[in-house]
Amino acid sequence: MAGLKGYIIKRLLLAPVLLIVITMITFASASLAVGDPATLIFGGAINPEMQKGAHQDRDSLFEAMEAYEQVKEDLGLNHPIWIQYLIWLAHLATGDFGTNWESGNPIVEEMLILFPATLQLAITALIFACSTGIIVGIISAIKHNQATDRVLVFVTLTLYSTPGYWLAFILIQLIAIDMYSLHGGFITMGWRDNANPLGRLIIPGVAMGIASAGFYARITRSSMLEVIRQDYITTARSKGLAEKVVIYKHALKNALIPVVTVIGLSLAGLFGGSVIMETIFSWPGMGRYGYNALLLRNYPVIMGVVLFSSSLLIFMNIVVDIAYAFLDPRIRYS
Amino acid sequence: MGMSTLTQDELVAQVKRERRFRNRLWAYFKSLTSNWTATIGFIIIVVFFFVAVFAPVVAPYHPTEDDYRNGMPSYAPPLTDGPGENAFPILLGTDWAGQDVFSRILYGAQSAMWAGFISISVGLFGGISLGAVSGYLGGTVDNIIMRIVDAWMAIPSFFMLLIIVAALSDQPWNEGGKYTLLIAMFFIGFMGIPGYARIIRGSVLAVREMDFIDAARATGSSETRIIVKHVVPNVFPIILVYATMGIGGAISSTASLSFIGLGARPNVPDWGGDMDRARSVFFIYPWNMFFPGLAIFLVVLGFNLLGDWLRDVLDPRTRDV
Repeated sequence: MAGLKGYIIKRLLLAPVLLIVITMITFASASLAVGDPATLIFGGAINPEMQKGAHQDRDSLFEAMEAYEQVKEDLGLNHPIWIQYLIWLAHLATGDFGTNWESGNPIVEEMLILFPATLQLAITALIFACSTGIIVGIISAIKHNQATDRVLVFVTLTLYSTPGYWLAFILIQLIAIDMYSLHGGFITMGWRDNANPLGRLIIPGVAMGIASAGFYARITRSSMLEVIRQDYITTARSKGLAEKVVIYKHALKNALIPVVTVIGLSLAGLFGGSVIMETIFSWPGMGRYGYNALLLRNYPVIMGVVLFSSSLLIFMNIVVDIAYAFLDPRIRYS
Repeated sequence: MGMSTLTQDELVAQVKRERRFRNRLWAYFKSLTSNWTATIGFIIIVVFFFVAVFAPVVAPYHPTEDDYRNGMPSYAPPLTDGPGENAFPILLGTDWAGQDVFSRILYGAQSAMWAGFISISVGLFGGISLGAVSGYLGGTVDNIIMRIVDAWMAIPSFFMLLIIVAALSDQPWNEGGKYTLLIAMFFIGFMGIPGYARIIRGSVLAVREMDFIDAARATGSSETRIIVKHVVPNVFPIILVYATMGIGGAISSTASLSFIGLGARPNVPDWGGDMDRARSVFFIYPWNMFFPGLAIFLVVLGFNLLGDWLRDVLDPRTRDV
């Protein structure tokens, strides 16, 4: 275990470096955009009067121009891009994640409210994906080279290939059409639909988890097949153990190790899928938050979302490594 | 010269090689047709490839001509009679602008095939270069490349794709977003590089450790010969498997980008974009959303079915399962 400790410490020390590089790339990419965010922000929440274009005379126009320059100054947009990044980084070092340019609230506060919504969706998706995927994978491996296996491989790849957003609309059309209402061309139920857990969580969750279900089934199947060929399974069989005991007690336990790894890693990946699901279901989570910030070039929010999701990714990677070491003592770290 | 200078033995060897190659192709074909899932995948891909190449010939209607010019009503249901005598029926209905959904799906195959092809080319080119260099040279170079790959993989790729596309979609050189989809395809490929690099590095390392490489070295083969003759052929099947599956993933990512309104230009036939525009009316005119989505699903499924079969046939780890 000593090797593991050193390995984990090395990874933990490397994590901040990774995050700095990633945020730097994000900042640079986001700032490639033409025009300045102040115009978009200015047209939005900071000065509501500006929206109405209410400056008939010279004086009010002049005032408006001044106010606009002030906004630019306040947001730090007059600095070169790398200075802006360093300022952001310096604030981050003191624990200040920045303020949402649009709403004026601290980003950490907003994310703390939004994250549970995303987590609910991700957990629903994960439960669906794990239960379906692992069961299909196991049956498929047990029935290897039989007709059932082929059918299940087909089912697996069908799950894996289904675009979640397409499935979401089919499910609504098939089972929930009268639970939803149409408003302004968008599905407005979903999050707000407290009375109706089916529509609220299950449809977006299933749609989000469908591809992962196929993925887990594939991993489970190939991992099971690999384990079944191992010597210790042959030994267990030759001891005269019942096939059920061999499969569920000996093989499954070992076969699930890679599956757990993949599930851990894809939990962070589910966040990416949440952008689409949250957008179409008007779900007030991190994905939609990031997407809306992107359209408004709300840099602090974009940076916050990227920082959060890549930290999650790196963290889950480390957790998976630790879990792996405990689940599979054969692994050595250097 | 040429053939006449070959000795009898060389000629026999050449004929044998050709026959072996033909036999192997035939064996693959038989394996493909004996596996119904692979057959379905193969047929789907062939059909969509054909459709993409010959869309202008096979499409019954022009994909961007609206109801003023083609005389078809908006939101006609599937299997409506076409405009005028002997007109081709409107198989899958029409969309908001009176455009034939079926024809748009046929044309949309072009965009999807390009997405798969471009992304996978970028991903494989970068991934093979990095992975091969890293795995073969080892040492410090390997360490540096693998740390870069780690950072690369920790980037939230879909959100990063959105950032890049949003930033580049209103550049002066990208007027009306004419290159946006192309940028997205390149970027999706780019974000696939670290994954391929890891896989290829892993298999290069595994191959390097094998006894037959030592044997080749012991008999005096040069490093170049070892790479070309032994490492590449052993790594290639794995690459082919991941590439086939990756094409499906790339098509799906590009479509979802268009679906949230950041990819395809409004009038360009594109499955994701067509679904986006049909989203607001899917309660009343579900076919507008259903059929382009079905096309995405089928193509991705096709590539995955074929990739799965390729893995069974080619991947040395599962070959004899």
